[in-house]
Amino acid sequence: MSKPWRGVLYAVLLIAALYYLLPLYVMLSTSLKTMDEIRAGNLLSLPGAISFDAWHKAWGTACTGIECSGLSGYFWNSVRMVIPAVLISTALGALNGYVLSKWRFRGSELAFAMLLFGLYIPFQVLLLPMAQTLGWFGLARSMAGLVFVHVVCGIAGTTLFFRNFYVGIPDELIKAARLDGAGFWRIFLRIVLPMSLPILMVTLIWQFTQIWNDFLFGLVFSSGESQPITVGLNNLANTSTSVKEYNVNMAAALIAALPTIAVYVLAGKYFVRGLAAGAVKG
Amino acid sequence: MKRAFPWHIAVFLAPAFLIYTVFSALPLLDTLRLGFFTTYDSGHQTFVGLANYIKLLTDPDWSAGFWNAMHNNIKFFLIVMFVQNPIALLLAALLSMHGVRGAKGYQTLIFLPTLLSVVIIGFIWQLILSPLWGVSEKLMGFVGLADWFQPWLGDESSALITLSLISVWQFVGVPMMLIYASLIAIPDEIIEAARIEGASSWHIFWTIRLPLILPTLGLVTILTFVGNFNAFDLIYAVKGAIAGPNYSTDLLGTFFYRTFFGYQSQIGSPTMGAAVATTMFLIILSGVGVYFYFIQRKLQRFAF
Repeated sequence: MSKPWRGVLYAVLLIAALYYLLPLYVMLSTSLKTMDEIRAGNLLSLPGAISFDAWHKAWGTACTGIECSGLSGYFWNSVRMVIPAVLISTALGALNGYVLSKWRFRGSELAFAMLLFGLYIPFQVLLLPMAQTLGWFGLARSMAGLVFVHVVCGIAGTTLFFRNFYVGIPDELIKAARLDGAGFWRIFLRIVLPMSLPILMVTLIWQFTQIWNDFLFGLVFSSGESQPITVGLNNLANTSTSVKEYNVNMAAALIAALPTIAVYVLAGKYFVRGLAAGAVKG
Repeated sequence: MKRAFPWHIAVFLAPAFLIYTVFSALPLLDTLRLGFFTTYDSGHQTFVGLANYIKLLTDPDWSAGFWNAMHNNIKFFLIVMFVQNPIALLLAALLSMHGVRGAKGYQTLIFLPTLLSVVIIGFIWQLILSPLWGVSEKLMGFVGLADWFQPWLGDESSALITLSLISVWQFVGVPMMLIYASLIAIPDEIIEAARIEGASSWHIFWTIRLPLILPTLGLVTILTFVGNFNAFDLIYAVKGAIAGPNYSTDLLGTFFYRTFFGYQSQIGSPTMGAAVATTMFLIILSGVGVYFYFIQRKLQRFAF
C-alpha cells in the first residue's frame, strides 16, 4: 500500500477510536469529580482533585425510588442471578450440542431447527405466558424465577454455539473411543469437553454479558428483593432529586459496567478467537 | 451416524427440551391464542376471532399508535442497517489489511460498548448530548460547527434518528467482528493469485473478498433485522415507556409495553398486548423466512 493511503487508513481508525474513547473518558472523569466541579463547566477537563465520593454514594446511599441504599443490593442480586444462570445454560448447551452433533438420531435435525427457531422469537411474545407459568411453579417475582427465565432463553443460543463447534470435531475420534468401550459420558468428559475451551469461553462470556445486561426481564419478572442492577441503575437515574447528580449517575453506570468489562479484559482474547472458530463457520 | 431412535440418548436431551417446551414453545402458542380473545371487566375471556387485529390495524384509537410505531421501527431499522453495517464493513476491511499496527487495540475498543448495558449507553449519551451540561456543542465548536448543535434528543424531528445512531455506536462492533473473522478466513492463496494477475487492492476487495463474505453479510442483515424489530431497552431507558417527544421514538417494543402493562391513563390489556406481540412475531418470522429460504439457501452455507 502506498504512503498516502496508509495515512488515510490510520486517520480513519484514529477518528473511530476517538469517537469511542471520548464517551468512556467522559464517563470515568465525571464520576471522579465533585458536583461543584461539574457545575463549573467543562466535562472534558481532567478532574481537579480525584474524589471517590460519587462512587461511595452510588454504591451505598443513592436513592433508587423511595429507598436510599445505593446499588449494592442490586449488584449482589445480579451476581446471584448471573452465576447459576450462566453455568446452567452453558452446561445444557454443551450437552445438547454434543448430542445434536455426535449422537444424531432420527429427528435430531428437527430438534435443532426448533431450537434455532427459538433464537428468533421476540421475547415480548413470551412475557405473559412466562409470568403465568412462573406463577404456577410458585416462582413469580423471585430470584429462582429470573434465573429460570434466563436459562430458558439462553438454551437456544448456547446449543447453537456448541453444536456448530462440535460439528468440526472428526467423527472418527468418537468412533475410535467407542470401539475402545467408552460410553456417552466418558466420551463427553474425556474427549469432547477438553477440546471445547475456545467455544466454552465464547459461550460463557456471551451468556454473562447477555444476562448481566438484561433489562426487560429484570423489569418485568422481578421485584424489590430480586431486581438486577440494570433495573437499579434505571431507577437511580430516574429518581427525581432537586439536582441531577451526574457524577453519581456515571459512577453507578461504571459499577454496573465493571463486571462485563472485567470478564472481557480477562478472557477477551478467547472470545475473538472462538468467535472466528465457532460461531461464523458452521 | 444415523440410527434408530436411541431412547437412552434422548433422555439426556430431555431436561433441556422439557424446559424449553414448557417455557418457550407453549408460551408462544398461548400468546397466539390470547390474541384471539378479549377480556371483559368481569375478568372472563371470550373468543372474538380477528377482532383485536382489526381494531389494531383500523380503529383510529389504536391504529394511529400502531402505524406510528411501525413506521418508526422501519426507519430505525433502515438507519441502523445502512449506517452501521457499511461502517462495520469499512472498519473490518481496514483492520484485516496486512500490517495494520494496533489492530487488536482498535477492535477491543470498538467492541467494548457492545458489552455494556443499553441502560448505561443511554445514560452517557444523554449526558454528552445534553444542551445544558453536554460537551457536544463545545466539541463541534472545535471544527467550527457549534451553530449546528441542537438538542437532538429532545426534538421531535431528530430524536429517533439520534437514538438509532446511538444504537449504531454501541453495536457496530458485532458486525465488525463477524465480517473481520470471515475476511481473515479467506485463504491467502486466492488473494496472491489475483495479485499476480495484476489486480489492484481495490479491485480484489470488490470482486474477490466481498463476494466471498456474502454469507456473513446476509447473517449480519438478518441479525440487524431481528434485533431492531425487537428493540425496546434503549428507548425505554432514554425516553421511558411514553417514547417521547410526542411518541416520535415509539417502536413496536415500547408500543407493546404500553399496550400490555398500561401507562398512565391507558389501562393495560393482555389480549391486545398479545395481538401486538403476535404481530411482531409475524413480522420477524417473515423476515427470517425470507432469509432462510431465499438468501441462505442460495448461498449454500449453513452459518448462524
